[in-house]
Amino acid sequence: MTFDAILTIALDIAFFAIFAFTLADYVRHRDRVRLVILLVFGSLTMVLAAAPIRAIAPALGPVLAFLTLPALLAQPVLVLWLASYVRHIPRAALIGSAVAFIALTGGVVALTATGGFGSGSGSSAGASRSPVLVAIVLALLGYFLILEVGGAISFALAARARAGASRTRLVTAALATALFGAALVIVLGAGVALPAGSEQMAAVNVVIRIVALLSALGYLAAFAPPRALRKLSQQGIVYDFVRDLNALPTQAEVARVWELLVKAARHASGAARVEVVLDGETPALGPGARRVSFPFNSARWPEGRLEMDLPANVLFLDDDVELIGLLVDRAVQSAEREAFLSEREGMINELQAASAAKSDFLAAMSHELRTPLNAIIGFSELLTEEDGVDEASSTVKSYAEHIHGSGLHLLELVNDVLDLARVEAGRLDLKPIQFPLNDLVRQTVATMQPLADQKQLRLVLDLPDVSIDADASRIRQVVLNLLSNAVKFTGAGGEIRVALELGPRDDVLLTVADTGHGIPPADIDRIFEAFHQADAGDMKIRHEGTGLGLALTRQLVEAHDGSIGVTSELGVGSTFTVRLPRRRPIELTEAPPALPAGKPSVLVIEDDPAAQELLRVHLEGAGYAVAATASGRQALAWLTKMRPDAMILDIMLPDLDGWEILQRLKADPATRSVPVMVVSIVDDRQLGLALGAVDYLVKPVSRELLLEALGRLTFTTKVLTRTITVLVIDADRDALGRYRRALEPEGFRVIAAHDAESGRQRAIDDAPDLILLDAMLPDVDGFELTSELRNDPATATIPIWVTAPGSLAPDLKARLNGNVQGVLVQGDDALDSLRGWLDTGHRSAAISRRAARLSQSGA
Amino acid sequence: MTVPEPLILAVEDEPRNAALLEAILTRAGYRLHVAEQLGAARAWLADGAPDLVLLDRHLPDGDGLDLIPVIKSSPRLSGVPILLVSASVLPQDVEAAMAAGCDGFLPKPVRVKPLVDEVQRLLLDGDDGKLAD
Repeated sequence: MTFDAILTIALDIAFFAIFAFTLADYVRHRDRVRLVILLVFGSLTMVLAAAPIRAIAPALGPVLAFLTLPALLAQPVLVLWLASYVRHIPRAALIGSAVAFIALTGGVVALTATGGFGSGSGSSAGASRSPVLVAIVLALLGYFLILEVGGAISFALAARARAGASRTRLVTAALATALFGAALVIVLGAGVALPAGSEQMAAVNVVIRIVALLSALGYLAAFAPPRALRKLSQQGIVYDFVRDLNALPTQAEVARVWELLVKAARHASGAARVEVVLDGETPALGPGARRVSFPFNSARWPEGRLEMDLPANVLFLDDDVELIGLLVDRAVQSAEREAFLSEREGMINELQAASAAKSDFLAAMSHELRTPLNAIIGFSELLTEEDGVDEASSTVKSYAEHIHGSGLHLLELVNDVLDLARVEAGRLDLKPIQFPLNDLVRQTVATMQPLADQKQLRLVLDLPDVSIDADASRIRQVVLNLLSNAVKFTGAGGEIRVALELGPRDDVLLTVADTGHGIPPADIDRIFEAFHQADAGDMKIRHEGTGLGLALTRQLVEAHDGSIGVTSELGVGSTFTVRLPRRRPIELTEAPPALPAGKPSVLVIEDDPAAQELLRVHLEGAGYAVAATASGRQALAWLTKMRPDAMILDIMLPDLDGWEILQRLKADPATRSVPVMVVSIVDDRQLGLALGAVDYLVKPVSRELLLEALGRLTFTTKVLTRTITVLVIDADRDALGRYRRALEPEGFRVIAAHDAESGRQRAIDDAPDLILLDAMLPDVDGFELTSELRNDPATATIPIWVTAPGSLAPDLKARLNGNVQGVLVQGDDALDSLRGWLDTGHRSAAISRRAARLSQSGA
Repeated sequence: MTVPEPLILAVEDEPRNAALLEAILTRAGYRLHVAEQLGAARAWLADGAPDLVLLDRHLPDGDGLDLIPVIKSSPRLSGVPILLVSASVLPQDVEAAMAAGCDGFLPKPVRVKPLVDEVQRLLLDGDDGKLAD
């Protein structure tokens, strides 16, 4: 076979493929745009098909010869007509082209009939060139040139007004049209200029076929593009859009999100009118327009939707609709986040105002209480200093001592209230220094020694040398509080042990154990709350309750990132244990670790060393460069010097919690656009996404899920991702369309079967991640198929959702026998509940099941 | 010639607290003049010659600290030590008092011994100042 012949066959196949696709597309939709597309390619295919058909069935020769010419001549007119669907083309131009078509066809037919061409059509053009023939050829040249170039320009101009897949497709259509025009011009030009059968003619023929083949491939890409190609250009747009959304300042007005959405939707579709409607009336329809509505999937704006007027007939509407659907989803997510954040900001402001009011109140109260206390304490003190000579005056003196003692007690409470308020308001400025804790404890014990001696208490110390970095005066307050409680609640002759010990995590444990009354179990949880007094049944003990001391102690310990606990047994005693970190902040390094260039980088913040190592192994194995730290502060410090492509963030961290890190990242313009994926055992996807995480995975996370989610973030890199496949077994072909529309934009692959037998086969062959099964199949009912699928080891683990037109009767439900994940009752929210199920981590379940299956079959 | 006991001006609006100051300080051997308002204190200072001023802050006609410029700007009185005795005990209150020119601060409720000790200390410092005149 010659190169020429191969080219010819390739050309034929390409145009047949386009024709078949456009025919199928038209049959499916039956609208005018698709009819024109069909006619464009139908006419071309007929021209090309003439030769092979004539070879097979010579009888058809004359008919074909009669039809070929008008078909060929009609093509540029049809192209122009098609172009009028993407861009306005003056009516005069359309009519003019039709008139030219009729005139030229008539002229050529007349000439052929009168033998004006000589012995045959085009083939002998070089041999006999009458002036008429030259005139006709020139007219044809002009005709093709003008119309094809006009069509190509229209496509190109239309492409400029669109975005995403439809833009790519329009550009390709413009190129293909221009190439096709070029091929025709070469045919005609060569036919006039070159002798038939010459070597040059043969060479030109090859060129013509190559150009035509390129044109055909262009048309294929434009009008029958592979799904992956469309997906790719869509993702680019969505990615840019999400980046724009991320770049909005934090707590931006939600209106700014809608503005961006309207802009992006207008750009993507070229629609004249795009509006976000949050509730109320739908805006009036523009003339000659087609209204497309994209409802928000949002609890916050249940009525919310994007309304747009598209021209009644427009090319590649499906692509636009799909793309805009994706944009709407992203915008709604972002708007919900902004709304949530600004509400939260309001709440925080209110809380801060309330807290400030409380502090002001407490400061005022402290002042007010001190004024009368001044006289009470002062005069009673003067009285106790009176030299009593007789019995009466010594009685007065002892009464005065009681008044004085109570006054001092009251003063202590007032002081504690004030301290507590200050800690709670965050106004307690710790001034940490390095000091020997054992010395401080020993000194503090010494100040309590006289009181202990009065009650004949034994103080037992075990104080090894320990230094600590903390606020010494506050730590002294803690020790003093615990000691004075111990002294207060331990009966005469008891014992108090004070011990220091190094803890397991570079911390210090201070224990104060007494042999006092003990704390009732019912009280032990509340003992650190403000204004709580342990009720030991003894009025005297109640009277001398701990008041605020323990609440304050706990606050002071916690302000040092420490903790306090107590164990107690009634009648035996209580042991208070304070844990204080020896060093306050984790020591941070200035510079982030050096990462190999040329790989996508991921910053991992995870405090569990094993989990961190696992993430590192998975990520490095997949081609990422990884920087990892256990500290949120460290991560924030590094981020001033590095810009990772993505971050993986744990929530439970020792220093800052993940929520706070997320918030700080989103508040800083420099780090705002770094995509953050939360990986945590805390299952609060809503909050995570609301705070700006792009994805939320709940531990334990499989390698596949992790890489897939990361791949979504950094899809521009060469990291492989896999698609989740959903098998729809449904006799109703409309239902299939609905699922496709709902699931494909979200990255699912939807495959279909229309009866039970082929469904079962596809479930085995394609190993889908999820099956949607119609309960009412024509051949075998869904219930039977469910149990068959469950009993076959190849399909036993695939999650199944049964779809039904109404809610299932209890006996039917019983037949499902727990074999399915759920029942989707067909209706408005059916797809939402499916989507919800897919979102809430079952994606991961589906994938890990599949991964398990793959590894089994691989082993 | 007997040296008269040092004279103290106490600016204090709460009668019980004024009585307490009087009880403590006369027992310690001082003379006391009580002014219950800022205005009264100003008027008395026009020809009164205290050796020390005890100042409260929250007064019916203003902040006790406002009296400090009056004292400091008078050549006759500028060396008189000022001791603030106040129930405003927050750190920022104490800082404000010191910045305004107080020579000492005692939180309310006052205790007998610290008050007597502080008054004595300030008077000794003030005497040094007076000797220099």
